[in-house]
Amino acid sequence: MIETLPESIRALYPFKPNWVKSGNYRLHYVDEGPRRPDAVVLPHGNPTWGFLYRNIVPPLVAAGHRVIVPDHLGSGRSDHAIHEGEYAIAHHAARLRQILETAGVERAVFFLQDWGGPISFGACLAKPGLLAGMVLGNTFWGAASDFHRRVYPWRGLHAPIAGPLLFGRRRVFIDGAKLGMPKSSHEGAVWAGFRLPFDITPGPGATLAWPRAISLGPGHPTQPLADAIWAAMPQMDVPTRFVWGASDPVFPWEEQGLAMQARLPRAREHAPTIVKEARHFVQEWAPRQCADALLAVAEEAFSRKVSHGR
Amino acid sequence: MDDNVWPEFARTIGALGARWSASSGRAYRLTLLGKRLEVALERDALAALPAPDAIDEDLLELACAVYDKLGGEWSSDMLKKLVGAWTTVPEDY
Repeated sequence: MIETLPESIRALYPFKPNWVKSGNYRLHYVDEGPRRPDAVVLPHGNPTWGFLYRNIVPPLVAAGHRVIVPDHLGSGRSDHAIHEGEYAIAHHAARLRQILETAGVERAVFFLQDWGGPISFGACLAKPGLLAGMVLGNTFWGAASDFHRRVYPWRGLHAPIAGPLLFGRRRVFIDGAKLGMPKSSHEGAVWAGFRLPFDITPGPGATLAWPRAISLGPGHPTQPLADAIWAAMPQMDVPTRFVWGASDPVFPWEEQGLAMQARLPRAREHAPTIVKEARHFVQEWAPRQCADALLAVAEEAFSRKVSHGR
Repeated sequence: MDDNVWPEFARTIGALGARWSASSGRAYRLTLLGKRLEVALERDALAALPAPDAIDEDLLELACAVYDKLGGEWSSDMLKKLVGAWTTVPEDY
């Protein structure tokens, strides 16, 4: 757990910390803007934390929205677990739900990127009515992409023995996040911000558990959740937009993007924003486009609620 | 320690036996219980601990040995190439 951020990082991420107790652990989340039951929720993936949204929170708050940015267990300012099993995706989803319930959030517009997708979908499956809208960017539903099935450059990185060494002590995967970010994020206080949670903890945190949680098929612990998300997608009748990095080898638009666009009922109402040069962490390449898409979805999602008198 | 040893790895690690020696001369006890693997350095209780980097070199060598034993797509060359690929930002990035 990180009680206080270093000054140089707090200058970039100046949001007041909020904490919730979940089992034996303390989880951190940012909660900015007016305390309303409608909120824009920005869950991160791997190996990042809420810091990834530092440039997206301000325009949303300026537009009058409540914004929640959780740090999952093992990430950001939250505690780290001891055993890999505690990082199961269903547990992450339950903890996200707990954060939102503690904050009094009843309806949420989500930004779904990387594991932020399956974790948020999982939270919404267990709480009907929570999902009010979504912006999808370089995400999936828990089942492996083509990239994830390859031994090189993926499965070989997090396999037994090599995984704890490279993700934990050697921080290879954390540094590898640079390959998904623009060069401007590779140094100085920005990069120090991304590395901070991993520089002060001895183990790999959630970073090693997450790649192993990607389902490779039947029998995998994440497969039931991935199946449930996939089955529920056609019923997710909420405002939906895409902001997608087109230069991401992990989740190519032609694979995950098109599959979800065909599956989600309102995914074709607006043309996707395809950011040509953006790689995996699309929030870092195109924060303004991400914020604009969230503002458009939130306006529709939350005003629709008012206009329908619900 | 690794909490999540995949089945194909468990068989290969099991074939290495309960003790594995690195080229550095240091030896490690390998204890595999279900999906959990513990790799413990054998040393005299009064001896100084090796530097963390030296241990890391041994563990990378162990991982390479396991990958080579697995065969197919898995190999020590692949692992080394992979580490390089994840830690090097290309010039033309």
